[in-house]
Amino acid sequence: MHRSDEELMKLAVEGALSAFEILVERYKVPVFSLCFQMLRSREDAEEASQETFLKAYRARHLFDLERRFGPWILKIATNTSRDALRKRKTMREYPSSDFLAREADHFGSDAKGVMDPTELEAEEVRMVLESLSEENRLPLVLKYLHGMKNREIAETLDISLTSLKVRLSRGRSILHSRLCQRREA
Amino acid sequence: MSQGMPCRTARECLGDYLDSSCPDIVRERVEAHLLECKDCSRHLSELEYVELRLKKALVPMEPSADFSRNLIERLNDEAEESWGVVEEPSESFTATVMGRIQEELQEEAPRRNWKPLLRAGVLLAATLLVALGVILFQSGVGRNQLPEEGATASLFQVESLDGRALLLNGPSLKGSLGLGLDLEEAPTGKAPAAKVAAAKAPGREGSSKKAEARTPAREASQGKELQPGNPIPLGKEVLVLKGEIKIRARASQGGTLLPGWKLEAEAGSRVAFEEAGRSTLRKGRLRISESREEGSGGSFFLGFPGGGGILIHKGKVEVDVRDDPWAVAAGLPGGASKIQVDLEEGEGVLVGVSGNPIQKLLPGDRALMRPFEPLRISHGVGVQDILAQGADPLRSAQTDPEGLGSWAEVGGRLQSAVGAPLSGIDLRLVLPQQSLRGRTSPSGTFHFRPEVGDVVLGAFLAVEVSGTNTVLRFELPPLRPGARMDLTLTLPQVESLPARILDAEGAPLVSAKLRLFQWEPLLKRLVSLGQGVWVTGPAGRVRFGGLPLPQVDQRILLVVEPRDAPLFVGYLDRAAFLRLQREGGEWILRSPKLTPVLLEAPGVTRVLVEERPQGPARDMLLRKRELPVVGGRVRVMVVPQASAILRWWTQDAEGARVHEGRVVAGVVAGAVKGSVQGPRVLIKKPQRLQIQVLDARGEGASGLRFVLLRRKDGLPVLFGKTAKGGFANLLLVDSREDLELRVSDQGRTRSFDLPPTGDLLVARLSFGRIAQKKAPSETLAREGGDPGFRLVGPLRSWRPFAWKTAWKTSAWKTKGPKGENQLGSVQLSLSAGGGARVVPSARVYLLSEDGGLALLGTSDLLGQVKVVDLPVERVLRLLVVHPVEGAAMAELKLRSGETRRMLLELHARKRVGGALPKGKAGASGARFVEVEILGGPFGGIRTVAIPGADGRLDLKDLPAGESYRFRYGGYEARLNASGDAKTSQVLRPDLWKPVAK
Repeated sequence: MHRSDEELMKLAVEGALSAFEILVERYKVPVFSLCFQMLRSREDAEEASQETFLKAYRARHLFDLERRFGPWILKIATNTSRDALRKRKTMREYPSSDFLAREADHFGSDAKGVMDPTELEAEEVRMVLESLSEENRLPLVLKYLHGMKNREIAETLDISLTSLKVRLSRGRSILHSRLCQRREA
Repeated sequence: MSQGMPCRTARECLGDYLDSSCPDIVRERVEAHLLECKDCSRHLSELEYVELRLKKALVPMEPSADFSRNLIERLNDEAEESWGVVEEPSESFTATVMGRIQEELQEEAPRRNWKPLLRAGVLLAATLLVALGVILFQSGVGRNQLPEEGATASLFQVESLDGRALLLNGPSLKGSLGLGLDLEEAPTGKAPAAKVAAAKAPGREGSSKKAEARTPAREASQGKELQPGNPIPLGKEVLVLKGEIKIRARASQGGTLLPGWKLEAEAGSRVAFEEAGRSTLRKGRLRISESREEGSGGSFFLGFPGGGGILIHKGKVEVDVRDDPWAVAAGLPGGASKIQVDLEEGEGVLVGVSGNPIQKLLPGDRALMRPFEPLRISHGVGVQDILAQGADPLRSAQTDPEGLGSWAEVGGRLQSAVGAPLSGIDLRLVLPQQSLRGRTSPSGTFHFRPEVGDVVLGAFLAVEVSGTNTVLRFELPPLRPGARMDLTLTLPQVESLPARILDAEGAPLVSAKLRLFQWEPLLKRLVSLGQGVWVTGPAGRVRFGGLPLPQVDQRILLVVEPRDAPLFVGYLDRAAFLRLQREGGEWILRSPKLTPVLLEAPGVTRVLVEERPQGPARDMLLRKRELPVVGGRVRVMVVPQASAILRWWTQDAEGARVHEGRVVAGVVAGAVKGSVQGPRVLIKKPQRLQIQVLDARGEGASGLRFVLLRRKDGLPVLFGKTAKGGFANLLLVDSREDLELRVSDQGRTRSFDLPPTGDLLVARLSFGRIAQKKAPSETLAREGGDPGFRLVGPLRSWRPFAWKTAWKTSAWKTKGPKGENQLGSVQLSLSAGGGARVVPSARVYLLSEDGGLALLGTSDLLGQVKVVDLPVERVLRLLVVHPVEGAAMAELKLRSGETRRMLLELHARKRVGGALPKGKAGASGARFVEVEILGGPFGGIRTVAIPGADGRLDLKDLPAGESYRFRYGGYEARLNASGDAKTSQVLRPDLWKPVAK
């Protein structure tokens, strides 16, 4: 029997961990993708996604069963990733200091070097996307990565539908002009 | 421009239009507008373009395969841990509720302070007051007449009596009582009450043994019969022997409107009256309701035996406190087993022992609690027993089914060093088996109810001071079932901590970054002390200000990151490995001698190293970084008596882990020890080799680049530069191997054989001597299978056509011609846009004959990249690729020892497409289009392209050239690569010309 997210959440609130497991299965890809979009590192995204579900579980009693689970969990994912970004700024990773590392960089084999053209195009978009401010980027990510409805995105980001539309259109046009700039250049 | 809709409106609607989320009428109008307005129509296509590219670029990603498993494990841990957590107050509390509770606590506070002063006078005061009460009582205060008990005194008055009730002297004590605690004594009731209580109240410290003696019969024999209209003085109890009694709270004489509340007590009830609007139901059933005719002047607080109660704002509530023979026999405070609260109407708040609100109650809500069990509340459930529902399987399994005496209570107040209450502070009650979370209320109080099946030793309260990331620990005396503690915790003052950081030789470490942490072993968390990073001054000195005074057994972890050296860690107390020693009022930390450790892991492509100290802080992540793998080897620096825990894994192209393992590498007494999980990792302590390179005059030659190669497979082992005096310290994994050392100086390369040895080496190599040595013939060039020069898979899909046929290169095999022993270098400067922009982050590859690629380097911020040690006297093809700027290729032949400087212009790739000639050409059965690039960096490249099923050609990534030539069947087309690189070009049908025979 297919249960809705909210039904499962209700069960989870009542203590059924297995119900929450189903939710994890349903949402791990969207959550992970979103975290990855924000953090650009598999390791960090993995950690943030785990943290997201843990937070959701801890806060299950606070979940409003009238609302939908999807936007809620993605909202937690957004906040968790933001925290991770902030943390990364304070506890940044340290580059290796010995010369071996530096020198070996020249000779290291990194399989990621060459990409196929569609991947290159996609990478370009991702690069440009990254240059956008979070305010303009997140709506686009939620919309096109998860195919969310505007209403859901607004709910996730805790903004009004109107300001979401403004951000979407601003994001699109900045993205377009930057892509054009790159091509022209 | 459309007359129907202005452009501005149309543009606003385009987003919705794209999402197909606008109403039909808007859609029609937008479409009408688009037909007429070219600008908007172009804007739409731009939006579509962006959308398309976004959709392509943003692809959902799968987390790792063990994501769910790991998460579920953590969730299970979480579920276990969260069991027994004290419910935090609901956020929906109104300010009035909080205010009310705060008021109550403030009333309570001075009483604590009075106690020592009043202790001496307690007898006198009690005697006076009791006497006053007796006098008032005996003087026959008239019916419905208010007594004279001072301006603030108020009375409860018997309204009607249907049966028999007694007025007892026994007052009840509110709040909780300390149990063998030396922290702060529990609050007592009012001074006069205290005297009486000491003699009468059961369940108190020192008097609980008298509890069993309390029976209604005995109490009855001591009480005074109550009549309707009788006042009930404060500090007295009413015992209802039979029937019902109605008691009303009245306004005071001073005119202050006090709560107009009515209490109806059933037979068997014992109610204590403490103050206006406050009484305690010690036993039995009591109904409290707002007295409408009087008007409600405030809230009413009904206490429960042993502490806590319900604060009723308005409405009607029924409270039932049932006797429990077991609890009485066990001498537990309160002596009640079950308290049931039914709120019939109005609004109430359940309050915990320490006075902090636990839960808001609304009509229909029913709270059922046992004195030593967490409160359970159901919302609007009627009369069914909530305990029986077992709503939470996680908890019900561990709940004491008898509900008897397996709980203790720890409550109290948190204050700053100057005594101000600290609100909103996270606390944890940590017991060996569980840890409960809580937070202080606005008045600084907290309350925990841990389950303690037996006497629990070693429990403590951890206070996390948010904002400062400080955790302080307060040890608790033994917790036993039924124990209650009322604590006043005072946060310590901060002190300033001077320290000095020295390197291994004792010289001060200047400009080293320091971070301080405190490890909380039971919380299993490391919290940073203070905020930010400290930097040592010129003499290696630093002063940590604003730190909480370290407590006994608390370790302060100091993480030092000297410039250009690996970090190390020390402890301020009871060192696990390094120790900060106190010398002359200063804490000194000496850097240890760091030992390099090499890991040999053939086949490992990536190593992510998480450096964690061993010992109590082993869960702390010092840093996480990716280490370069050179020839399957990784080098880490290890602090003595500590260890680095390395988690390594190999990843496939998608980033999924293929193999993984964990290495704990440590150096103890000079020997490298370690344990390894996972396949094929060797830990070796490298051997040191010191070389000195001398120039022809016999002077140390500094700044010479050298490379150490393994003779058997030519793998580079080390790269380096000689330091001052021509010295270089090398660390070898295995000095029993045959090694070759190459030193380059201004284009000249000299090779030197290092003989195999099992011991440390000190070699002095004169440059002149090297020159005389017969140089070996091996070069750096190697086959594709080697990790340094691996064939890279994804490239094949990147190529729009076969590179192999296009770029015929001269044979470049593993061995060069005899005698070739010197290497060349290339310094590339990359630009794009006609030299207008430098291109950082472009990758430079060496193309091998079979189309394989070896990554040589990545351009820096100035668009420069230097590639050294390249084979000479053969044609080399360098490919430079940048994801946005495009690509460039350079073909060159280096002479021995030459360093070539080259400027390379990157060109974006072009897209060329169009229809193929029909008719004869089609009939000729040609299946490929031959493409040749003319001019430009890729000029001369030829390849074939396969047309699509629709007979069209679409080449998306044609390298930039001046022009292109296409051949198809008997036709040829030439296309000038006009326009900028980004525009695609169309191969128009008229361009195709029959090839002249």
